[in-house]
Amino acid sequence: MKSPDLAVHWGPLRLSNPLVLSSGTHGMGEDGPRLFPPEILGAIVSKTVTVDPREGNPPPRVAETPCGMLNSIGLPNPGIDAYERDVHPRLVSLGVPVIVSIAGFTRDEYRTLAARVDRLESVAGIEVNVSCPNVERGGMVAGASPGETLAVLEAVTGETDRAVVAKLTPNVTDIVEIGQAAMEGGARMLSVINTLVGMSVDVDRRCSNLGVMTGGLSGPAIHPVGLANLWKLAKATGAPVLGGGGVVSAEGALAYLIAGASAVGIGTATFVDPFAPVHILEGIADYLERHEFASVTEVIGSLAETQADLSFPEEAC
Amino acid sequence: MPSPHPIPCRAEILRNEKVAPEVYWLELGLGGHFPPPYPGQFVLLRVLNAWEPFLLRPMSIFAFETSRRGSRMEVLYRVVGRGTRILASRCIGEPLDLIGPLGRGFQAGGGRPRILIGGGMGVAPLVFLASRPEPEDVLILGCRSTSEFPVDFVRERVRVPVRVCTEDGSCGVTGVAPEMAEALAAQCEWKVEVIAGGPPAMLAVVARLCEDRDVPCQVTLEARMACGTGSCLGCAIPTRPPGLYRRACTEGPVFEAREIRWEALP
Repeated sequence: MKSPDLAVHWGPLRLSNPLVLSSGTHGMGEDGPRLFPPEILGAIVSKTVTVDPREGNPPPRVAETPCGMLNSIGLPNPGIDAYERDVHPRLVSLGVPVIVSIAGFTRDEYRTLAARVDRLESVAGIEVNVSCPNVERGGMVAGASPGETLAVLEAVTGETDRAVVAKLTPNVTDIVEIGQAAMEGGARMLSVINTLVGMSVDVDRRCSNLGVMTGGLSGPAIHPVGLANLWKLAKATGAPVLGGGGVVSAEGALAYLIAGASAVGIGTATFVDPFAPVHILEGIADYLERHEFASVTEVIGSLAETQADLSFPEEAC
Repeated sequence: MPSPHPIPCRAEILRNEKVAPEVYWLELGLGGHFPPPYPGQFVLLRVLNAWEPFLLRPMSIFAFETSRRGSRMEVLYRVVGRGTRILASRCIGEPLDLIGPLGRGFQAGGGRPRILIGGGMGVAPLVFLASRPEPEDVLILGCRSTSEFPVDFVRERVRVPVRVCTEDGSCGVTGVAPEMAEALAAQCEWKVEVIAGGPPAMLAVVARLCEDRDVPCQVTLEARMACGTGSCLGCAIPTRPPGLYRRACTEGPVFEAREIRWEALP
């Protein structure tokens, strides 16, 4: 039997497989992933780049939590000049589609970054990070407001015709509203979820385990949250959505695809299992063969849905 | 000196023995393909083959040997939390996943006599370093008390002269390692190099002594980390000038002492 076709379309992008290495999980991008062959990935998203260089937050920046971890890295990056000169050529040399992640602290900065990235060669897409929980301004503050998300996306898409993806935060009341605003602002694709705001306390020292009090939660602990957000968003907006958050296994990746994800993000898993992307892709191929699917696209959105009935019977009220 | 490329590896536990009340001596069989580490490098141990506890534990390499039958690595660790408690419960013959060798180890010096200063568990990578001794090496081993640190066990495994000090006087000179190092360096008119591992407060004192006398000093630092390979940017060490950070896992764990902003370490 022919081995199943893993290629997917995520909006205008055609990826050789659905696995996309998330921003901020492969250093500044200067080395790429060190322990697994990067060419197996469907795409790679750069570390978020800002206009000016940033050193990031004071340590400690990571803390272990049940089935996951908190980080408060704080977007360290060399800035757009050094990104253009040093980092981008190295990412491109990995031989995988490169999506450049950008974050501004004002709409003007988003505009500047979009224009700069638009000029670069070999850019598969631009990820607009409106969801980082570890900076005081911009980031999640923008992504928590439909109006600001719309304005940021309009600022970016006014400067570029490249495929723009909005990376959204789950730390909002209604992610669908934000996703719709991003699409209205010109995003061609969406990506969920960035990390969840969390905290961990050292009870002996009576202080936070992170240098800046709170951080972003990732790892298997957040998989159900990412999945629910992905499902709601894909269903309500009809947009091509990348689903990610807590993917550590082929089953975890397949759950996102079945729930409607066009592609799947992976990140934190590679910290603890450097070959996770290899195992996940093998597992997806095995699953497709076992279930006699010729292509991974056949499972996308194949979720059997029950009729939700959240009304209470009268006598129970 | 380029560091060997790290690999994920399944080791076999050959020994996991208590050598002091909370201190364990772990010996791992690695097969022949594990890249020989440099002294000062470390490994990440996955204490259980599961997603909980989630992160791998960084551990200094205490000893490493290659023979025709494969490689053997030793780690000395103290039970300080959940991960190390689980590690202490692991049995001989069980598999243990690890990634390594990681980080940038000790750098070759300028030929001056070396004073190695180990504070408590911080001595572990210095024992590996002292397995390839230079002629005039001396190791100063300081700890609170022999009741909580296996002084004799460590001393027997080092091929260079060892001077011991304890805070409670239970072994060697009563005092702390930086004082002993200061006296020894003064005898050599400070024409020495210093290499130190231990608690940050001790290292800060040693760094200050060396900077005042313009003595080269390398320190090995610990930091909480996730990936160990430079990817997560979690293990930030504050370095000079203010506002700069370096990764303990990649630019470290061994740093020039004068690079470090000691006041900004957590």
